[in-house]
Amino acid sequence: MLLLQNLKKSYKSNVVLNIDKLEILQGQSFGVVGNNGAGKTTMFRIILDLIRASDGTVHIEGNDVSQTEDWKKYTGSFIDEKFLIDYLTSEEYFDFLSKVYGLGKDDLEIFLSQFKELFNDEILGHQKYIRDLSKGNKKKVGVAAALIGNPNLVLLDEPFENLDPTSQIRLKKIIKEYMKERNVTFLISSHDLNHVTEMCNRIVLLEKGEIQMDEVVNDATRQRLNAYFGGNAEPMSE
Amino acid sequence: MVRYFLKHQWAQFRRSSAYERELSFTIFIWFIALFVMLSLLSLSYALPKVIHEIPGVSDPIVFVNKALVYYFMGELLMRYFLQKVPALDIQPYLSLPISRQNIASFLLGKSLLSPFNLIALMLVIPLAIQIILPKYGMIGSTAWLCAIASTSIAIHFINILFKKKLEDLPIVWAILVAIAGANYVLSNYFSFDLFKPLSSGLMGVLSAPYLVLLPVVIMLSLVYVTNTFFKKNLYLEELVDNSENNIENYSEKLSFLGKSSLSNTLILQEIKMIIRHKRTRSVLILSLIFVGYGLMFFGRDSYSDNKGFLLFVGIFMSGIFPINYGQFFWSWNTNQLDFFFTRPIAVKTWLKSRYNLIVASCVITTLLCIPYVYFGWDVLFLIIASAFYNIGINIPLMMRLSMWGPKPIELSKGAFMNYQGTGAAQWLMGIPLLAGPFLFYVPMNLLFGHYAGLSCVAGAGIIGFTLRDYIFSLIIEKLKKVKYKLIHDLTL
Repeated sequence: MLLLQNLKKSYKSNVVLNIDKLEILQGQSFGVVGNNGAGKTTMFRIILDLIRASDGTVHIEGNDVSQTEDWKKYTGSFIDEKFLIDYLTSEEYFDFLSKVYGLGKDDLEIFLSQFKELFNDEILGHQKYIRDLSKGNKKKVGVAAALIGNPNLVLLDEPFENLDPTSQIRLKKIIKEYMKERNVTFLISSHDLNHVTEMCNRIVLLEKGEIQMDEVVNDATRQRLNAYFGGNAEPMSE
Repeated sequence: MVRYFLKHQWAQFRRSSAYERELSFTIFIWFIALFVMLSLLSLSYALPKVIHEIPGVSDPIVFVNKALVYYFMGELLMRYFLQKVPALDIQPYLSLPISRQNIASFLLGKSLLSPFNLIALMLVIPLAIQIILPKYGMIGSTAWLCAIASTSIAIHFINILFKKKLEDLPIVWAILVAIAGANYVLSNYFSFDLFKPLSSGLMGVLSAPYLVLLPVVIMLSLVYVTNTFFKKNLYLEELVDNSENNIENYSEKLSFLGKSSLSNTLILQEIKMIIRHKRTRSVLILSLIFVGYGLMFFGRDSYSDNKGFLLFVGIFMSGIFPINYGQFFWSWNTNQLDFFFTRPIAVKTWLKSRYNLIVASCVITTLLCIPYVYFGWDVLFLIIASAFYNIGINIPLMMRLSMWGPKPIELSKGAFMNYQGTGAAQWLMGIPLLAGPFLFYVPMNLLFGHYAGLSCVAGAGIIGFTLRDYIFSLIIEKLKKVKYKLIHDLTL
């Protein structure tokens, strides 16, 4: 499904990402954790071909992302607010997307109906530009937009950040449905270990651009992650 | 405290990411400002002579006082359009134990530093020395200058209050324009002047200097009102520009575009971008104004010998939107690049739809220029030939050149005196655009004359237009290479 090979990104001599090989299978939900500057967002942006890798390749379903454009049809993503068009209202934005993905009016309505609870009547029907929405509401729009058009692969950077607890639970429910019923592969990064261990069945821990840990989530995972981040917080010995 | 404010302001200016990149431009702008100041001074020095030359002026002093009233109207307009309302990024200070009065006074004081406050005095001081001083003496002329300065400052504060409070009310503008227009008609045809009390007031100051107290008191009370207003309204939501929050509905009328192909949907998108941002809106308005550009040149004998020069006018008229808009072709999408590069929109469709939009603008401007046929069919032919050239060659050229050193633009800021996104590249770009047509015109003109030259220019445009798909493929090829740099450069 998603294959990262020999991927490197460096700014001058400063290596920010260095992954020998990482393969993610269809339907796997994949969590990325790591402290600030560990390379999570850089990895996402390279996967989406927004940053050129210094070395190595990214393949989505066998297509090299930097050579082809087909993968865009089945890859949804939301990293930050630049993935939105902020001078449109949410309706106009979804309308535009439905046009891009060739959805009819009814398809769009059915699609949006899944988010009725998540949107909580704050997003549609208010005649408000996206740029004037709150951070949390922008996030909701962005995440919903990442799921449009039946994607096989969805990349979300910090999807739960800025959301209230109720919205977090609602969003998790939606994502889980996509995982179960449509076998969608998710790549989710988060600073909150509870979210990732709950949502994902495989977790990769990045540190300074390298994979420190890569394991299938089990009961001990959270403990090990806590131990890692806790250990980092201890004052350095020597 | 003020010391810290000043320090922070300086740091904000000096350390802004735009400063280094646009240093040369800042210097350029300062030069222009200096030039304007010098020309103002020489103008005011020459004014007494100019006034004597105007027919029907018996008393220059009366005339000046009359003219000043109109000048003040003009100043209000100029300030409204050009002057920025003082803004200190107050958010970080609001939560600190700094009194509101402190912040308000700083904002007021800072606003007074504007060069607009000098214009009126610069215009009248030489005048006062030359014609008022000999007649009314030191006290009279000082009071007169003082009255003018106070009025100018009062206008300054009116403008601030106006912008903060009333900007959303177009009716205010309608009333102002109506008053000015009515006065013009009344004074010209019915010899009744609404502004007469004002100008006779200024005359009165000359003979009874204590009258100067009136404008001074008005000015001080405006200072007080503005100060109170600032103190009361130091809340974020009230000081930010609210006028942008209203939803515009004009683009709904174009929604039929969105019902057809994806390409048309993208055009609709772009139109929404243009009319929903200050910066792009002003580009649009500027382009409409430039339709009148030709009036300055066509039908004047001084240019009839130099028909080649008129080609330049033609290119500019139908090409002002392509040039103004196209030079920032990529920068306009500063905030949407990630979107367009991750969604399944073929780059070619995206480019083509935007090309079509610019072509449409070119066609519309050309249609608007048809009345120029009044100056002769050759003028119309010139405009149409230029339009062909713009469509076929200049627009694709612009799209290609704009990949060269693009800079991010914040769309929500106004365009007047706003050079964000402009670098040396953007100025150099203009050279091939304006010089290009002469490559085709000059040789043919020398060999076979004016019309052959123009036909050659039009022909080049038509050839460019038929080759557009090939040109697009070249641009796309290039885009593939510079894509990452583009995304990187256009990050604010």
